[in-house]
Amino acid sequence: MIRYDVRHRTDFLYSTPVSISHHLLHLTPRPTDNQRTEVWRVALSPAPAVRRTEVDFFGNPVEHLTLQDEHSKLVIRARGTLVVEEPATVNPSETPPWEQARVNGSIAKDPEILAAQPFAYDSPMTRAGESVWAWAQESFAPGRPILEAALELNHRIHTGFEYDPAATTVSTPVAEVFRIRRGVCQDFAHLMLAGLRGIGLPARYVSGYLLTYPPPGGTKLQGSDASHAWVSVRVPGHGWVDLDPTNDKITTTEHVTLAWGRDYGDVSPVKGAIVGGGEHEVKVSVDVVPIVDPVA
Amino acid sequence: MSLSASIPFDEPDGLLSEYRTVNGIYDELVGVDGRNRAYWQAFIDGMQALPPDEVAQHSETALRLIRQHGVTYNVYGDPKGEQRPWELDTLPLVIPEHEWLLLERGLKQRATLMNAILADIYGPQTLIKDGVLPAALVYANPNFHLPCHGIVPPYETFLQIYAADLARAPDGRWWVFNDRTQAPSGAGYALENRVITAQCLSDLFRDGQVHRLAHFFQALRENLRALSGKDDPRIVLLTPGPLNETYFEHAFLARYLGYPLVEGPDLTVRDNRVYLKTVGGLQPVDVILRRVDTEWCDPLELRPDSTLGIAGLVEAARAGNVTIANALGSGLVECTALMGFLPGLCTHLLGEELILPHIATWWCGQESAREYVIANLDSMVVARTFRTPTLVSADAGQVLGSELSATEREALIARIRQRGYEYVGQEPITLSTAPAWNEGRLVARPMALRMYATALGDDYVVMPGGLTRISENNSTRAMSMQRGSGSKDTWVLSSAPVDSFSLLRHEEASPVLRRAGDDLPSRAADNMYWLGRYAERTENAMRLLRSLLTRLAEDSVQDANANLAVQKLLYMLAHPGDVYGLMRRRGRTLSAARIEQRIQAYLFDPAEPNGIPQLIHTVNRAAALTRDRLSLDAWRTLDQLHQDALRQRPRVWLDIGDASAVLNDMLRTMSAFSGLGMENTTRTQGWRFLDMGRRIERATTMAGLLRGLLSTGDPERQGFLDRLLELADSFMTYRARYVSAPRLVQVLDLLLVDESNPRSVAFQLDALEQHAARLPRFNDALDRSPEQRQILSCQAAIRLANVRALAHADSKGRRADLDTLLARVTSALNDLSETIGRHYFSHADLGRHTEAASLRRFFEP
Repeated sequence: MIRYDVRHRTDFLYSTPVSISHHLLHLTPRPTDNQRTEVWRVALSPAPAVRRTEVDFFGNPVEHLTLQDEHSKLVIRARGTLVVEEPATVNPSETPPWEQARVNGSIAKDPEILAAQPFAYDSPMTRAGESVWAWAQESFAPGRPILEAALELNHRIHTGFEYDPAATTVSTPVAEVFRIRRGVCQDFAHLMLAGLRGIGLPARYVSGYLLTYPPPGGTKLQGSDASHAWVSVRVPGHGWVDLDPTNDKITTTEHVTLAWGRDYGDVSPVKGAIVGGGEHEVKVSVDVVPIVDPVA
Repeated sequence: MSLSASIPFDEPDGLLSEYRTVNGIYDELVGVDGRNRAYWQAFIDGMQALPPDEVAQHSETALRLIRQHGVTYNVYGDPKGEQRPWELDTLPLVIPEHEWLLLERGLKQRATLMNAILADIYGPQTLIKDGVLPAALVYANPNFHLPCHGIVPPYETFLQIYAADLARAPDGRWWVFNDRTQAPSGAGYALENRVITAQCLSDLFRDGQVHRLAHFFQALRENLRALSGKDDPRIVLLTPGPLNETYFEHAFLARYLGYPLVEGPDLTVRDNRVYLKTVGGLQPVDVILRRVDTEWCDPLELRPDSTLGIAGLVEAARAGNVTIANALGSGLVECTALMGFLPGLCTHLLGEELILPHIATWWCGQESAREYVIANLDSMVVARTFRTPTLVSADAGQVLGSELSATEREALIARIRQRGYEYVGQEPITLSTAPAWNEGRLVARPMALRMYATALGDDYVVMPGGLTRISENNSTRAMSMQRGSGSKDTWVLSSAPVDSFSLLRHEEASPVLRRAGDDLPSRAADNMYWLGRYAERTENAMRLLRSLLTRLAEDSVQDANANLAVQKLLYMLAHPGDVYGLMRRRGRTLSAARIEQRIQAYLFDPAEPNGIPQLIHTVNRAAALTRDRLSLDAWRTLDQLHQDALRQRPRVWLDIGDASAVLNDMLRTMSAFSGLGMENTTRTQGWRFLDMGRRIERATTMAGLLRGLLSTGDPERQGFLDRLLELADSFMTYRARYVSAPRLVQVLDLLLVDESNPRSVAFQLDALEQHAARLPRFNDALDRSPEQRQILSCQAAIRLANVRALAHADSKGRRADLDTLLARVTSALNDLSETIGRHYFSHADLGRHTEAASLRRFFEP
């Protein structure tokens, strides 16, 4: 178990004033099987004229904001503490054959299968095409245990693709990521989702944070942690198991979950549509700091 | 199908003498016994009784009306982005009352059913949980929009308008082959078809007891009003814009229903409410009748790259502050695969049997259906499950199994096996045939019928009519309904006399009185303003050319002064607004041949920048953007001008008489447009902006001419004064006042200072002052607005000017006072134009004005 102090600050700086802006925030962690939020607050400057908190289709907390006074800058600060437990361990070789997790087209009343349905088909950011499906299929030989196969796919992304923040943007199609074999965590998550869904397996996009460590002998820089993204795959009999293709592992207590959906578009931490503003600059800083309990 | 032998008719030389039906295909007119169906007989008799030359005229009349009404549609992907004239066959499809009653019941039931499915899927989703509907038809469906889940429209009515495409099977039964729920198109075309057909066949229509369409549109209006919960709500029609294939229909319906036609950027969301940005400020919007597909409606929660939508619209709908018709997400049930499940859904949701059959459909997401489709591929049409056909273009993505090569067949089967939920198999349906005109005789053409229903209270009202489309070729396969198909009016016969209620003539029982309001969308005001400027600019160029032609005709261009005047006029044509260049213009003498060549180019060459063809094109484009605000006559006038201009080709040599005739025709048309603007347009804000554009352009041009021709030199000797009077159409006025040859002081007085001369600068300022006083105000009403101040300072400068002093030249021939004054007037007019733009067109904010609104979106990296 680890307790974290999390800070996530986003600054938008506009070259000319914005007359009106609408935002959608997925910046408050949802509760999960192994994660619980103690306190959480999202502070905004300037204060929005309209602010409404809701729960979205997937059960994630979401905030709607409208700023309708002219502004040249918007600062969004999310901060809180939460507790992450070690996820339940699953032995990959003992999971059921992957074919059992397929849901395509079936009429099913099983609540577990029904809950997986929204994640079983292509979503706007995971449309890739047959080459990606065939590529994913290579890890899924008939009858192979699903988690074993999914971990292999996870591994193939880690080894076959280069982490390169300069290679892609948020709008790079997943087919392009597959072609150039480069990208960031978001791209790798979308690619894995495209492959899994392409062969009929439901899988979720998970948005969150990753605890990082300072280089050996160095000190950790403030704001050096990052927003992160990974994938959750349905393993019949075990629920959802989170896999991190960027780091080639099953997630641990180092992964803090914010929200999940079909892809980045459903759960991006800050979305916005603005009128005016000219050029804009975005600065993001994330700190995920383990709290050392003085009593323990 | 084989053509059958000729079927004998009573009158061998009549309209039907070449009418051939096809064996095994239902024909609307002729029964299997070879006789006309009884319910057609009265109509056919009426047609036969008409004099042959009148019959021949119908098609021509229809063509003319289509041109005049400007009925068009755009073809997406057409490289020229061309508007195509709507194709109408004047012979209507006749539907007997007993069939109509069945169709009416069937359509009501189907609309109700579709609505119930939407209410469930965007709500509790029991249909999925109970296993009545496969989840894939929802979650794999790109028309299921997650952000819309949980939004409950008023009265849980998602579908305010529903449409179905129907075909008639060989056994005479009507079958549904498409459901349209997103933003059904074509009802406006159906109405336009009726207007034109009823005009062509007025006697037959009047005597035929044909159901009127107006009640349907009245129901639609009443329904939208009721949804708002207000007596006098603001309802807008949201269009993707002039490039959309059915934009004509959007403009037509907006005008017919009395709603402002708006585009996404005309609307804004504040405080979770939708507002229309108007010249009078932000006006709350209660109901949006949308012709924009859901995914494009909100760049924040739906498609991020959309520039057609309104950021925050989904949240405004979620908050219940705006009603959108059809509700966002309604396209979900526009899905062929759903058809296979409809009988079950109908029993489950409504407790009824489905009244209207649809084409047999197998969704390959289910194993048994999948294997059936694969086994019977040769007799199947295979289509993508989630495709969306449009109104006029081909139903893409369908293949006929029997037409596939062995390789294609294998590939298709493999794909169906892997991702079956993306495919449906359907039996190929055959269409019935209906009579259509061909070279003055009637021939049988394949047809399909689109019908419409609109919600009203707990029920739906069905349009007694619809949009009948006919295929140009003889194939009776439904999938051959391709672009270029024609259309027909649809006459539903009544057994009782019908009342001739028409929305075009009447208002509802307790009419709301509206005067020229402030709810002119800012963008429309902008377009009207520029239409005014371009129209004036074009008229001015025509006058310049006419003046040049006159010089040529007088054969006086070899005279040095006359030649200089000609050079200056040509310079003005090439560089409108460049006063400095005009003042300095002292080129080498131009030969008559060179002058002729330049005039030819300006008059006829479509590639000549600032030439008449390009100017007319610009005017026409501006008019197209404001089409819903122009009177029909004004639109026709400009369209006529455009057509005439398109027909002109550069001549081998310039015939001055011929060129003058062309120019005079064009000038007459432009004057007609201006006259219509004055006489036939109500003094709405739209008209005001059009006229301000015209006045500012005219004042700027006149000030430029005066400065360019008079501020140096000896214009009296150079003959410039005659040219000026001619260009300003003020020769007669001058002659009436003075007997002498034109003198500078008098001309300056007439063209600059005289507020009674409609061509003078002072007259334009006077008109602008009156407009400015009636514009919506943002500041304290006691203060003069910035526009008024700018105009007043200009007026004062001119009124205070001493004309004799202005006319006085120094020893070098310069008139510094005149130059200064006109420079000041020109610059003040430019400022005025900018101020108007900032206040009324950009309208990003009230009172505070930022740069022109642009919508962008960012993601956190």
